Order: sequence, then C-alpha cells, then structure tokens
Amino acid sequence: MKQDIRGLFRRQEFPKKKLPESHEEEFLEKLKKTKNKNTKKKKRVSFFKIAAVVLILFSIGVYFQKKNNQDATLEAQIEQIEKEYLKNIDKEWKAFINVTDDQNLIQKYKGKLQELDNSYKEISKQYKKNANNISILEGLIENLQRRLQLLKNIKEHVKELHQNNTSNETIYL
Amino acid sequence: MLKNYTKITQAMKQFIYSILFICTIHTTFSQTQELVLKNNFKTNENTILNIDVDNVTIQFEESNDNIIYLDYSIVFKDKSEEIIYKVFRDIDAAVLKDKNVVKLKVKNSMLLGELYNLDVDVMNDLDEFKKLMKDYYKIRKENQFLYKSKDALLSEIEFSLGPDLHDYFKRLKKKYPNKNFGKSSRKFQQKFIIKVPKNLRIKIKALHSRITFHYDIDRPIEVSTFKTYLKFKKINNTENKFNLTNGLFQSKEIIGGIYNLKDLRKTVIGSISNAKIDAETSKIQIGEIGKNVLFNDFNSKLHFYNFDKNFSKFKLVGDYSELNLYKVKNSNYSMNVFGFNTALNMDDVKTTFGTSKEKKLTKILEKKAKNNTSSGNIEIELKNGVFNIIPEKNSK
Repeated sequence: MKQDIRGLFRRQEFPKKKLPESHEEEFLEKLKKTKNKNTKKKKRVSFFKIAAVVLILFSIGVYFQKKNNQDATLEAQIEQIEKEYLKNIDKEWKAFINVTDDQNLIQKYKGKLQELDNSYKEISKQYKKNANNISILEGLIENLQRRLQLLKNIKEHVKELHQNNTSNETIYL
Repeated sequence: MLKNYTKITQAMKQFIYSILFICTIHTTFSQTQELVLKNNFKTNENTILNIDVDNVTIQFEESNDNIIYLDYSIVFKDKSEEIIYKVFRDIDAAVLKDKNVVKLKVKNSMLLGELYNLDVDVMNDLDEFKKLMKDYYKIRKENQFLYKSKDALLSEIEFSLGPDLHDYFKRLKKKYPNKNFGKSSRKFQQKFIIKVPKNLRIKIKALHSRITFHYDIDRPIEVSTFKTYLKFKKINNTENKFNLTNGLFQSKEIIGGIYNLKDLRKTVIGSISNAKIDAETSKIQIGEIGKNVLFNDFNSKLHFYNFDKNFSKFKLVGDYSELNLYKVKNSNYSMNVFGFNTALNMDDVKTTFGTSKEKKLTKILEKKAKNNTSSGNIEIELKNGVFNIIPEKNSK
C-alpha cells in the first residue's frame, strides 16, 4: 500500500494551525529581528559555535584574505571560500602534473575531479533550496576537501616512487 | 594544520555569523516524536525488499516472524512547529508491495542528512576543543601504521559510529564520563527501524545515507550506494554484489561476493574469504584474509594485518597502490612480489625497484614459508606502487 507522507501529515492535523502562504518569509523576517535584538555577547557565543564547527570542516587549511566589506552577502562569502579552495586545488593539480609524465594517471585524475565537480553542483542545488543548513554546507566543503586531499595524496605517492636507492635485484627473505 | 585554523579572518567571521544565526534561536519546548511511516508486509521465501533511499538513517533488525516491519519517525529535540514544518516539507517517503516485491522509496532532501552529525557541542569550550582536534590528528598520524589483530578490528567495528572523528569523540566520552562535552546542536534525529525475516533478499540503492545491519545476512544482497555509511555484521553469500562510491564501509565478516569500492574514505573488514574486491582510491583495512581472495586496486591505501592459518592463496594486482603488510618476517606463508617502478620500504631503507626502460615487471621480493609448512601463497603485482613491510616493533 503506497503511503504518502504528506497525507499522513494531514491526517495527524499538523501543523495545528494552518500556515499562511507567506509563512516562510514572515518566519525569516522574525529571525532577522531576533538576530538584531541579540546582545553582543550572544553573537560572540554564536561565533564560537560556528567557528568551532568550521574547525572540523577545514582540516585542510584555507587561507582567507583580509576583507573588510561588512555588507558582503553570505552567498558572496561562500563563493570566496569556494574560490580559495579551487585556487588551492588548481595549485595542487599543477604540482601533481609536474611530478608525473604518466598520461593515463593524469587522465584518471582529471575524470575523478570532474566527477567530484558534478557532485558539487548537485549539492549546490540542495544548498540553494535549504540555505544556511550546516549539513549541506559541510557536504560542499567536504567535496572541495576531498579533491584537494586526493591530489595531495597522489602527488606524495608519485614522489615516493623516486627514491635515490634503485635496484633490479630480487630480495630473498 | 591547526595553525591554518587561526587564520580565519574577518571575512570568515562574517560568513560564520551569517550561516548559523538560525541556530542561535532557542526554543525551550520538550522533545517530541513525529511519525513518518509505519507499515508491515507478509513475506515468503521469494519476497524481495527493494529500497531506494536518499538522506535516510536506517537500522535493520531481524524479525521473529515472516513479516517486514517498517517504523519511521523523526525525534525532535524541541517541539518547535517551524522546525517540524521545515523537516516534514523535505521528507518524501512511500512504501508499497507489488507482486512479491516490497518497494520502499524515500527521497529526502539533504536537510534530513545525518552524515556530519558530531555528537558534541563544539562551543562548550573552544580552547579545549582545539586541543582535542590537535590530539586527534596527532594520534591518527602516530597510529597509522600500528598493527591490529583481527579481534581488535572487530571491536573497532562494533564500537564505530562511522567516521574516525566521530569515533574519537565517542571514545573520549567513554574515557571521561564526568567531563562535559555538551550535546550536538542538531534539532532532530531520524529513527527508522526496519525489521526483516533473516531469509529475505534485499536490494539497496542509497545516497547520502547511514545504513546499519544488526543481524548476519545469509541471503544474497545487492548494494549500490553513493556517499553512504554502511555497517554490517556477517555477509555470507557468493551472489553478493556491492558497488560503493564514496562514504564508508564496515563489515565484521565477508564470505563470498564481488565488491567494487571506489573513493571510500574508510573500509574496515574483520575477515574476508571467497571474495573479489576491485578497489580505487580508498583506504582499506582487513583484519584477516582467508581463502580465495582476489584483489585488484588502483591507488588505494591497503592495510592487510593478518592471513588465516589456511588461506592457501591470495592475489593482489595494484597500480599506484600503497600496500602495508604486517608481521611478514615471522609469518608462515610464501610470497612473491613482482613490480615495476615500485618503492619497497623495509628495515627503514627505501628502494625503488624495476625502473628499467622496458617497463617490465621484475621480481622484487621472494619469501619462503618456514619449515615447509606453508599456510598459503601470496602473489603480488605492483606497478608504480609503494610496498611497506611494517617493522615488527609496530606489530606488538
């Protein structure tokens, strides 16, 4: 028997009071006002909370340029983070192709980065639907981190192949 | 690495303020549980459960009769109508039985996702949190080549919540029960229990989900996932098919089946036999390798801790793989390692083998079994690989 969750929802008479069409806008407006009423102390606590969450996310350090534009929008700032990561990814990519001449390997990694980019675009769509959601934001940042980490790992691996000691004689244990 | 964290500048602060201001709005209502879906279906030995889910957390348990029970609800920390409204707006769940196939389809948005849910309040004490994170990276680095017995790995799987960081905090909470780590800021949690008869065939397609099985699976299971955390006890069937991309995979025991593991951040397997693994850019730890295991790999980090007393034969073909073998010198198997452009790290000496222009595989290493009582033979082909024979001092 097919069950539609929205049907269940209606049967349980929830929400108790019918929400107006403009509910979401009004809600966000209310939040905005509440935010403005917050004391400086509360903002500070809030900052620490988020900063700490971000500490987990940014296991690969990202350097942010100093910027004093107080009016910058959230979207612009996410773009800034994205830009910084992409800059680092590009830097790692160049370092990687500099240490290898294996074209198959390079193509393989090009494909991997493309797949991750496609996945990023999908998560971005979700983020647009649910802005300010930390889980989705973490998904976006993790995707960028993963690209960077993959490139760092393969670069280190290729470097490790080039040892000063070389041999073609079998070792017997 | 933590030095970089301190470089969060004004722009970052603005970003941080903006992002979670929604989380600073506190409501002080009581916890509530809202039902999403509840249903049950009679089954017989030919029934198939086919699930296609996005952003769901599911616990599979064994039912004592021939009925599938589905019980899905959301537990809200506070009874905030706004949050409940937003969550239910983003849930899309339905189940039906068509002929002898029970089809569960859940297409939630990422708002419902629980992959990143760290069960501590990071604002509780920020300096302490920074210190704990620093310790986490330090311990991880120190222990990366530490030997693990099969039993140790089984305990790890039993204990694990999924990502290593989550396990780290779980361990800390256990170690310091009186210390206040705070609680997760998450406002709700999914509670979805599916009880199934043990002989039910299951097919799973999942995205951004957490799926845990609390019983041993003997019937064929097909799993195809993207960025999903999977945890199993025993998986035992030659027809098993796993295609996993991203995410995590943990299983106490694998007997039979084909496993394609791509880009998995963490794979922990207690023991494996009669199985074929094709892996790519994954981290894989195996407690004990048994009979008839074939392994093809591209660019993964592999940690094989032990081989069964009678594993008879194991073959690995790897390209750009990092292979870590433990307790090699005292083991009782024979081993042949062939390679091209492969670095061998043994007794603190690193040497690159097989760098001839012909790009042919050359024999890097040969090990004979002790006392002519071999437990099996290992054949390894590594192109562009790194082969670490981990010193015995790490193996105690």
